[in-house]
Amino acid sequence: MNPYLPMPMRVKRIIPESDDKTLRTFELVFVNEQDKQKFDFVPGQFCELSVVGKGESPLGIASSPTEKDIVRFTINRAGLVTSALHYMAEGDLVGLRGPLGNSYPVEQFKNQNVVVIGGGFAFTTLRSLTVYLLDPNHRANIKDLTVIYGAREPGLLLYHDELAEWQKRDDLKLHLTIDHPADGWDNMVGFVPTVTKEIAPSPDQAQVVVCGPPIMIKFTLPVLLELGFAPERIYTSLERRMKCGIGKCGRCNIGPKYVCVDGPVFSYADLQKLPEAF
Amino acid sequence: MTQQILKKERVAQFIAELEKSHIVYGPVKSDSLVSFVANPGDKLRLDIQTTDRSPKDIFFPQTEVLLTYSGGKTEEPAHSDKPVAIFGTRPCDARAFSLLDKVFLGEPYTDPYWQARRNGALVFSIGCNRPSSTCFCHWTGGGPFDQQGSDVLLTDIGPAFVMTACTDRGEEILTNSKILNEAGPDEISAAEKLKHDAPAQLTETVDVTQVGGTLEKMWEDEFWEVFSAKCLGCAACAYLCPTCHCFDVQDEGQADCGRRIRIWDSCSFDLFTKEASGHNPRPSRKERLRQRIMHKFSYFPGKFGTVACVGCGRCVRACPANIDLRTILETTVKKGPE
Repeated sequence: MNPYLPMPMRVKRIIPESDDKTLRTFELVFVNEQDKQKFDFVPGQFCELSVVGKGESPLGIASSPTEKDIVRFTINRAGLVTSALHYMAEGDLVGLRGPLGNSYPVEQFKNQNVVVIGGGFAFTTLRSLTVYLLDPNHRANIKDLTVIYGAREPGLLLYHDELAEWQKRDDLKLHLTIDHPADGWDNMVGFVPTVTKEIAPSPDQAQVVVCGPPIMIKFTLPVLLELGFAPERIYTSLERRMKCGIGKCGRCNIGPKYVCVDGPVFSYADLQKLPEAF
Repeated sequence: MTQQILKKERVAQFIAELEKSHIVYGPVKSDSLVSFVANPGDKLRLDIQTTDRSPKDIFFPQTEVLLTYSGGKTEEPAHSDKPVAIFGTRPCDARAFSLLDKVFLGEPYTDPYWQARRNGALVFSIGCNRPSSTCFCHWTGGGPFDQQGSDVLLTDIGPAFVMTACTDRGEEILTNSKILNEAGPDEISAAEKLKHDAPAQLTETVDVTQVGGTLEKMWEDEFWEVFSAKCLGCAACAYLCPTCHCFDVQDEGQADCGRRIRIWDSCSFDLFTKEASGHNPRPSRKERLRQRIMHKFSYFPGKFGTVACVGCGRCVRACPANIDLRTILETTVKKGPE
């Protein structure tokens, strides 16, 4: 099998996510039935999404494996490929390679309390994880599920409708925060590290996944250590410029580790051994 | 280990025989540069030691089509059924093929383009009787008559080459060829003498195969500032290097018709790691030079058990700023544990 060949995918639905229009969610469906059958992933993995004539872009999978038949990506318009994607219409064809990379260690979450901490538009794979854990087949496998999610302003939080639904559930503790007070906002205010400190999730039999802009991760990690989480129980997902996604092209390494095949998910214990991670 | 004689006047005949089953590449001088070309014919130059360009592009072309697309359909390019034979590479470059095999054929993904070209390939190397002043194969675990990566090793004894089989496939060729003569004791001892005398012409050995640990400790050393201050970031070193294998993937063409290609790239370039946001985890030449050295002498050995340098010296010869990799390595070795 040629790992450089993309599968054809059709854009089924495009959902604008943010007020500033830089974020859109693309719901894709498989063109070939056999591709759909083979596509099997765990939250935290990523794909190379491509537009012919423009190139490829590595993106974390925002849908959960429990959401059958579709694959979702929430895309920030930044470069050549992501801009081209933003100009696409429902019904258009894109290419997809993956799933690639490792995943969040969902097996290790069994009988544990799980804390999910996210910031900004990095919440995509955390949404995948949360939806996966909330699935009736998985929810009973873990104990408490806490989600802390922050964005600069309310309009930049992803998945508004879903967040509203999550707030009503009693099997998920959701804490939403924005950087500065805003009209009509009745949730928390403050940066994610500060809010995490206030909420103070217990490290007892708990695992934590934290994902967001580098600056947020950098300041949240010490808070988690202070709360008593061992570095082995803290996971994060990293990003680097990537091309091949399969450990050959040589650019996404952080020290000896390739983000594409050794990551993107690393424990904080792993990262402490790596130079220049943030 | 079969040994046979190939008389120099029969080289063309031997290659013609090889061409029946293989696409034969050999070193050819063109526009004052020596590189490997297919069907070299009478332009074949077996007297030139380190070619200007390494032969890595035979298996890893500078530009390679990954797929073509047209009207919503994508297709893989077809590969020639005829395997490659390289005649006249040097032991350092042959060794580099075996290092790149680890990258492209290693877990968890096999690179089908590299694999297709490597399938059934034969490598005929010529040992180096008189290594040049920029050669340092012996620092990296190789040597002027190293056999790693070669199917047949040739020793130039003047009027003829003594051919030594290094693999089963090399053995097969030497046993079956009608063009070769049996090697007599005089010819074998002449070859042995050359092999014995060659290392004496090299500089004193500095073992750089275990330098990774020291490099890791020197992450923040001022040494990187000093060496990178001269670096122009031109990547001539990487393009000529037989083991540098980093590449970029780009699309060429329009939305309805075109191709996706991979092209050589280098960690010396600013754009190599620059992200769409503008953030660059390796913002200056210091981080980029460090990456190049760390990759070859720390990360690669950590993953594959061997340094990603064969000591061909092309980077030393080509650097417009006179950065000598050997000086960087020697400095590191000296800073290392006694």
